[in-house]
Amino acid sequence: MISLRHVSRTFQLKDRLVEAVKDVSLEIDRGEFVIISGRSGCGKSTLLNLVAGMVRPTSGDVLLGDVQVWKLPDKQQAEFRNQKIGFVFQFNSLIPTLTVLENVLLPTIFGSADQRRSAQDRAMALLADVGLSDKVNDHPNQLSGGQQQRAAIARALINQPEVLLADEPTSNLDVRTEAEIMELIKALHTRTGLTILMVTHEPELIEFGTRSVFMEDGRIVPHL
Amino acid sequence: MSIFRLILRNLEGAAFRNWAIFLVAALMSGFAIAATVLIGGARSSIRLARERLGADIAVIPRGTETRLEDAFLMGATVKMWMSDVILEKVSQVPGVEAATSQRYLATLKGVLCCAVPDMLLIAFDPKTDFTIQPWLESHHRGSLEIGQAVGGSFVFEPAGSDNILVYGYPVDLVANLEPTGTGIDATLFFTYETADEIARTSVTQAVELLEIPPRSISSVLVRVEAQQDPEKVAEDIRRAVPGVDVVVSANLFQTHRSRMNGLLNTVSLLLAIAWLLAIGLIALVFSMVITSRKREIGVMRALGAGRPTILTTLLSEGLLLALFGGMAGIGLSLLLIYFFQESLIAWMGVPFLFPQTSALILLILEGLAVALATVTPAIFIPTVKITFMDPVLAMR
Repeated sequence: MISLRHVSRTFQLKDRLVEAVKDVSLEIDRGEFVIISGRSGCGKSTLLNLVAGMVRPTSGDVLLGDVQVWKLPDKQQAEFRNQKIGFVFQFNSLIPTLTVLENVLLPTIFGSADQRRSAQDRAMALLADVGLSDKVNDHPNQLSGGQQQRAAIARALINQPEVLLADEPTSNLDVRTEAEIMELIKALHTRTGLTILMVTHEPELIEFGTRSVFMEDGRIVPHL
Repeated sequence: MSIFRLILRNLEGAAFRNWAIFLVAALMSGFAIAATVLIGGARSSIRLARERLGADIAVIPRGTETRLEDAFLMGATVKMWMSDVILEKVSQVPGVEAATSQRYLATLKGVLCCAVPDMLLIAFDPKTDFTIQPWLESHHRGSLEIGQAVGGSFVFEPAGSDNILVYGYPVDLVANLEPTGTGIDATLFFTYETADEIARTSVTQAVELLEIPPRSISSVLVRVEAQQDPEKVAEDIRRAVPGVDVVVSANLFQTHRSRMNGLLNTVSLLLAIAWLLAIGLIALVFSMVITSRKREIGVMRALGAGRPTILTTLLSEGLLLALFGGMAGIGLSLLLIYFFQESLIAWMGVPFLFPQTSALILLILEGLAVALATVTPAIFIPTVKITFMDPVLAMR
C-alpha cells in the first residue's frame, strides 16, 4: 500500500544542509495501523509529508499504491490527496469561521460532484461516530481540544480515503483525552480496516497500532 | 457546503480586513465617481451652452467676454450694450451666412417663477434669429407672439397663475428648453416686441424700470458659410468692425474651461495619489490577514484544494468586498452630488448638469472598475504568494 525505498530528504537551512530523512525504506500493507515514534525533530513528520507527496524526496522512491504522488502535477496531486488520503493534523487544523459540520464537509468541496453527493448524510454519520452529533453547528472555538481532534478525524474520513495519515494527533491533549482519541482511531481501524500511518513522539502510544517503527536522527532504527 | 459558502464564511470572520477593504474601495470609487460626474457634468454644461448659443461667432462689446460667459453659464447679472449698426456691419463681412442680434436685458432677483432665485431675460429678433427660432419651429410649431416666451428648464409659471409677471407685464410661458445645467436654464427668451412692451409697462407697473437704450443690442451672433473657417471670418470681422470683441464659439467659455481643466488636473493628481495609497493600505491589510490564515490555507491545500481553488477563494473575498465597497461609495457620492449640486456649483464656480440615466450606468460601471482596479493589484501579490507557498511550510 505504502512503499518507501531508500528515501532521503535534505533541507537547506540558512547556510547548512539538514538531512531530515536518511535512506529510509518501509513497506506498509493495506489495513495496517503503523505508528512511527521518535523524539521531536527525528524526521517522522517529514516522513509523513513524503508519503502524502507534500514534500519531494531528495532521493529514493515514495509510492502510495503505485503512484509517486510528489511527481504528479499540482492539480492531480490535489485530487489524489483529496480522494485517497485523510489527514489529521496536530492541533488547530479546523477552519475557525466554519461550523463543525462545514469543517467536516470542507474536503468535499475540493472534490468531484460524486463526492459531494450525500456528503451531508455521511458527515452527520461520521460526527455521530466521533460523538459530536450535538456540536454540528458549533464553531471550533466552542469545542475542547479533544472535540476538535474528533471533528478533524471525521473530516479526514469524509471522502472515504484509502489511507489515514495522522501527524501527532494527540500532542496537545491531556492524558485522558489522548487515550480517548487513540481508542477512537483504534476502533475506527478495527471497524473499517483502513490503512493508518501515525507519527507521535510519545512511545506509550505504540500499543494502539498493529505495528510500530522507531525513528532516530532521520533513520529507522530497531526497537529497543 | 460550496466554495461560495466558504468565501462568505471567510468574509464573516475577518471584520477588520473587511471594513478596511470595504471603506477604501468605497472612498476610491466614490472619489472617482464624484470627480467624473462633476467634471463631466461641467463639460456637458459648457457644450450644451455653446450648442444653445447656436452660433459660430459672437460679437460683443469690447471687454465683456467674461461677463457674457458668466451670464450664460452661471446666470450672472449682465448689462452690455453696443450700437445696432454693428449688426449691419457684421452681416456684410464676407463668409457670414447669417447674423442676428440679442439683448440681454436684466437679471430678475427673487422671482417666483423660477426654480432658482435669479432669472436672466434675453430678447431676440425673430426676423433674423437662427438660435431660438429653429428650436421653436420644431418644438412649439411656430414663432413667439407678443407677450409669449420660452424658458429654460428651471422656469415655470408660479402656482395659481397662468403667466409670469416680468416688470409688471404678464408673459405666457409657451415652452421650456432642455436642461443644460447653466444659466440658460434660468433664462426667459422673448422677442424684441415683447421686450419693448415690458419696458413700456415697467414705467407704470414695476418698482424698478426696465431700460433698453435706444438702437442698442447686446450681441451679434454669427453663422458662417459652410466651408468657411470661423477663425478667419472672426479675423475679418475684427478688421471690419473695430471696438468690439469677436469670440469664436469653439473658444467661448475659455475662462470656465481653463478653471475646469485646472480642477481636473488637481483632481486627477489627488486621485492618483489616493489610488496608490489605497493600494498600499489594502495590500498591507490583506497581507496581514493572509499571514494570519497561513496555517488554514496550508490545511486546505493538504485536504486537496488545488492552487486555482485557493487563488479563486482568496481573490473572490477581496473582489466581493471591492464590489460592495464600490457600490456603497458610488451610491453615496451620487446622492451627495444630487442633493448638494447647487452648493457644489457655487463652490467650484463652474456650471453642472447631473448626468442622464444612460450616462449614469456607465459612470457606475466606471466606479466599480476603479474599486476593482484598486483592490485587485493590492491583493494579487499576497494571494499568489500564499497560493504557491509549500503547504508544509504554510502549516508550520
